[in-house]
Amino acid sequence: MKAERPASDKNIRFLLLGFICFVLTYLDYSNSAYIKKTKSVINDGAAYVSYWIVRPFQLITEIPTVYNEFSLLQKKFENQEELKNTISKLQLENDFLKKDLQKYLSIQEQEKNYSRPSIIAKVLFNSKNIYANNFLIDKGSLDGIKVGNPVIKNNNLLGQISEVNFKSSRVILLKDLNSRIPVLIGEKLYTGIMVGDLNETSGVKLEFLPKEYEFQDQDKIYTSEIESILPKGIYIGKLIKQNNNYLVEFNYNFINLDYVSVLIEQ
Amino acid sequence: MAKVKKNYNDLLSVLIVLIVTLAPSISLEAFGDIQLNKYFNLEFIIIYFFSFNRFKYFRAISLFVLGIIVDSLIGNYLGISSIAFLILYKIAIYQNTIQVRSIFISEWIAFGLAIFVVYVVELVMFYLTGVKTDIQAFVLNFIGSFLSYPIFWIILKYSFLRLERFSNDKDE
Repeated sequence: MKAERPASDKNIRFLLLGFICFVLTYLDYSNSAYIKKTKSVINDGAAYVSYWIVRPFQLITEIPTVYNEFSLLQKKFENQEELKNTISKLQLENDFLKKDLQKYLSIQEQEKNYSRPSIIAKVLFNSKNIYANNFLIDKGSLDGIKVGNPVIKNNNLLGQISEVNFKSSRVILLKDLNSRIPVLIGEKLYTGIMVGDLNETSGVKLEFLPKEYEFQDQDKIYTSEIESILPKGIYIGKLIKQNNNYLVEFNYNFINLDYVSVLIEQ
Repeated sequence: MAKVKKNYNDLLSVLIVLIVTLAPSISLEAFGDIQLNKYFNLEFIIIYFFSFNRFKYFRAISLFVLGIIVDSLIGNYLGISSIAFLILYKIAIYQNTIQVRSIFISEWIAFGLAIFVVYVVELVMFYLTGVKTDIQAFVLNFIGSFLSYPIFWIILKYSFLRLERFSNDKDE
């Protein structure tokens, strides 16, 4: 039989691990060079491994949808006439998919509007809890991504790169508590800072606004420039008037993101 | 010499916590914007349950590694989740050795005390590292975790531990 370790040994080991935890947190917080590369490797590994662990479950959750679609198709094929209709429908669907593909390719073109090169990245892992609201993408420093690069989807700003590893990066969403984005609001281009706030209905609030300002319903919000990191004029959302208050309405759904674009420096 | 039977319980419990950590990424796809992890911390519940009832299921080193993975995925500074898991594990073992578990209510209250300490430690660490946190969300998460413990206790007790008893009977 395997001998039990004495309690004092266990306590020493526990204290040692606790001490290592504090040292790790301190080194990470102080952005120490000793841990930077190691952390990048850990983050890359965790991101890709979790993606491949999660993927089968994601496929399983898609089974009911696939099954429903299949049973619907089966019924349609029972009748010859219906079959013809289905074929024509499929042709239409095919056209639609072609258009969808064209649209996808045009996203790349559209995002060139910002006169910055962009990189298309796949979302690996979503993290949304009381600690953070972010996601991991499959592009990193080896692809030219830097901290602060804006992340967009269909020309709407989703957030910024907050952490870069070798082959993956973390995108902090606008709704994250630690997100700070300088913005320009409405026709008069009032300046302000958009801050993530869980207590707000829209998940964000506007701070550091000028002393006197007057918003209007449907006023659009764009990014304001930060040196060469964040370009000016990326669309974020619009203001909606509700009970004498203004809420920020985003154009894009922050869930179920598959691919995003990262605007990189020229 | 008798052959030592290899025990995979440690690996299994770590895997359960890891799947719980990865679950939001799956549920985001499946259920849209419903976030159950906002209302309770299932990782804490599972770690406490196994540490308190069957503390041999976890080892300090596996919790340390698990914490590093969780921090890496969530985006916390490395070590914050590890220290939270280790403290929870240690408190649960201590509570177990002083025989808190005679009745369920005392186990439940002990769980409340344990996660309270862990949440406080986490908040202090976030404060010291300058990470902005929503205390209200933490309080709600604490209350949710505390109130939902009996539900998960029943599920875990009558499924996982029975499975364990079945496997022990089979071995005999």
